[in-house]
Amino acid sequence: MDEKMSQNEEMKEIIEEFIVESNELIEKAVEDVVRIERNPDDELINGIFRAVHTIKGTSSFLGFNMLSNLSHKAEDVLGRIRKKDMEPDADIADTLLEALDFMKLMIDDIRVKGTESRDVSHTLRKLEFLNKADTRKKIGEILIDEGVISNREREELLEKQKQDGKKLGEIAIEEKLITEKQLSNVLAKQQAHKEEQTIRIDVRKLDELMNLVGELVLGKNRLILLDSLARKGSNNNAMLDTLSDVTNYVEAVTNDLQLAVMRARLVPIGKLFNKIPRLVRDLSGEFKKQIDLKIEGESTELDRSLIEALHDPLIHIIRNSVDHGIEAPAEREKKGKSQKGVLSIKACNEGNQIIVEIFDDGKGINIQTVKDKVKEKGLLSEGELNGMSTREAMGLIFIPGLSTAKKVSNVSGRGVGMDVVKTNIEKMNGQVYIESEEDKWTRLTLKLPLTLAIMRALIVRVNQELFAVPLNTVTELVKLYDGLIKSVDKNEALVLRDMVIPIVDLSKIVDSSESRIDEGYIVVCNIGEKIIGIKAHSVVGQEEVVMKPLGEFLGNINGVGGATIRGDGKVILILDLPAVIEHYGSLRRGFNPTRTFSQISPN
Amino acid sequence: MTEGKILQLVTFKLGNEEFGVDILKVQEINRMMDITRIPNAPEFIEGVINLRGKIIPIVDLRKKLGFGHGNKETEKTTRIIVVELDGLVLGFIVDSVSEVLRIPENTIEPAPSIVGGVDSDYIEGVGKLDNRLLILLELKKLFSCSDRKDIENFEMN
Repeated sequence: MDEKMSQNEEMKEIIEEFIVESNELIEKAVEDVVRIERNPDDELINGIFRAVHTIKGTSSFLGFNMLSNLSHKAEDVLGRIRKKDMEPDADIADTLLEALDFMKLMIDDIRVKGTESRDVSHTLRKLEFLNKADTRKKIGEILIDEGVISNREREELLEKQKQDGKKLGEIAIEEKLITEKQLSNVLAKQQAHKEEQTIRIDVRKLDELMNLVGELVLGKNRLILLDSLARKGSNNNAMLDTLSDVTNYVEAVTNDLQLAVMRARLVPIGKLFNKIPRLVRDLSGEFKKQIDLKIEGESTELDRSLIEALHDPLIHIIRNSVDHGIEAPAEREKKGKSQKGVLSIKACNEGNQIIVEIFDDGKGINIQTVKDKVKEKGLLSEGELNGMSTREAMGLIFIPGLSTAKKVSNVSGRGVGMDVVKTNIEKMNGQVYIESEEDKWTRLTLKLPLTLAIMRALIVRVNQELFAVPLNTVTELVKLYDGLIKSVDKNEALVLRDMVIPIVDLSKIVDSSESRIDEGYIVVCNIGEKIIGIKAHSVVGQEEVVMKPLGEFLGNINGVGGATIRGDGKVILILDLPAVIEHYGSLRRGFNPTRTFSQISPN
Repeated sequence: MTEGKILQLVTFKLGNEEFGVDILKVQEINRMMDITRIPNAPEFIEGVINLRGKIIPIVDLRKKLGFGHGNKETEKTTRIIVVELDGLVLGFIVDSVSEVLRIPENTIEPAPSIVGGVDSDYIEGVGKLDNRLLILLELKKLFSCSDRKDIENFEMN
């Protein structure tokens, strides 16, 4: 690439587009290569071929010769597979994946440095080795695919082509085998570009739109507040009726708009799931396991940012399942299971939540082992452990510091880093559940909200402060009366339909003054394995809140997930329940809150 | 320090002390507004406010600078100075805002080790005016690393 060209804005744009497009193509191709190894489906092979072909064409046009050369060689190999000259076995798939990996690296190079520089001679040699014979001209194949000419006719055409060196299509027309119209159709097919009803939009633009909608939602809330205030204050009045009409109208339109923008940001989870077959393939090779991977619900949609945030936890869980869940084939046989382990990953919608389920039929979790480990590490006392239900004990897997396998392998063991998975999921307002039966199976269930930015919350008042509790965690409200709360081991608890629910008194965390709450409500929340009740003086109501971060300066404040601006312009804090529980836990163990609110005097 | 360079400062009062900050760092000056307190936040964090749809932390400068016990009654003159430091927007409460001063840079002297009970790390220098002294605050130091550490340490507890 010479300087002038790359400086050219238009060229830059073309290259950027090329980078985006190629990355997508490669991602899809990698996934398909893994699939054709098991199931050499013509459509899949054609898809990979077209992807590589497109990259080859564009890169050579843009002057990225190394990339073009590599993709050319890969294309040749794919061409042979397509013609059924060879079967895509594991070796071929490995080589193709290697080539695709390099192509991706080169594209990264182009993005960062503007040019590609990689030593791919080894891969090129492998591809050439696979590619001993020349491939034939593509146009002939397409003509056969289309049923325009027969295989024998193409052979004849190729013979002729060798003699006079013209294009195959031209010869075919001369021979009256095809019409010019057919040829142009086929040539168009060769481009293999399906026109789609989509455009690419920079995510930042969508984020900006989302922010603006968020502001609009706040404005709408203010309008609703104003409307209700105005109506309270006076009698029937034509003007007020109009105000109500307008308010209702704005409310409806804003809700629709919010939904529409949110939908625009949703992407199918398949984008994330696509990477799994390759991962599982590599991992099962690494650990010598045989795995039957099942993926369902790829088309389930969720917010882009969630897809990104879900990536690491999901990969962690899968690695755990392959490494420590599913047993080696010999061990499985001994247990009377089939040699191939099942790893199934499912996604589905449930209300406005997304459920992702990761199931393996491996060795499951031995609760006693987990308990022993927890005891050995001194994380909990024996008494605490003995009093646990199976469900609670299963949740021990998420306790931080359970890590043991560091020295064993670079891949984490079951229980290692599971606390990180839990923290990450909870950061997204999600929840994790684990179920398992020893020697039979393990199932991890992730529950996630559709989007992060806007959520429904229950507004509660503690002392004079308002707090927002994420509504997806709230299961019920219980009115407080004398004697409802029992004292259990110096802690307060509520007995609700055979469940003992520990009570968190926010006022203790929030304020140093000993103002007990004797009246009001208990908000029962369900977070992961834990159920807790939060004491509140009163419940203000349900509201849609736009989550805003507290900002870099404040960083992470324990117990506060963010803040939102209410209809009247006041800032209220959104509770981070998992952190509240932790904080509460530390209080129970005898630590005092190191700091509480100081008095301030707003005017 | 080069001669003849003029500094423009926003000056404000905190108790009896007079302070100045670089005018370019100041985004706006507001009257006192409703502050939402934050549990578990470091001591010098007064809370957060809603500044036209953005949530901005408010620092109690008295506590931050370590003099007085903070929490002086809000008066008519109380102001929130909103500053921007490398993209970080935050506000701090002062007793009153005095004026915008233009002073030559060469009238500023490096700070003695302790000035008015303020740790000299936070002080860029002391400006000599006719018959008073003006403490120039180094906002970046005041609101950066040490606070982060505070916050981090706090979380460890």
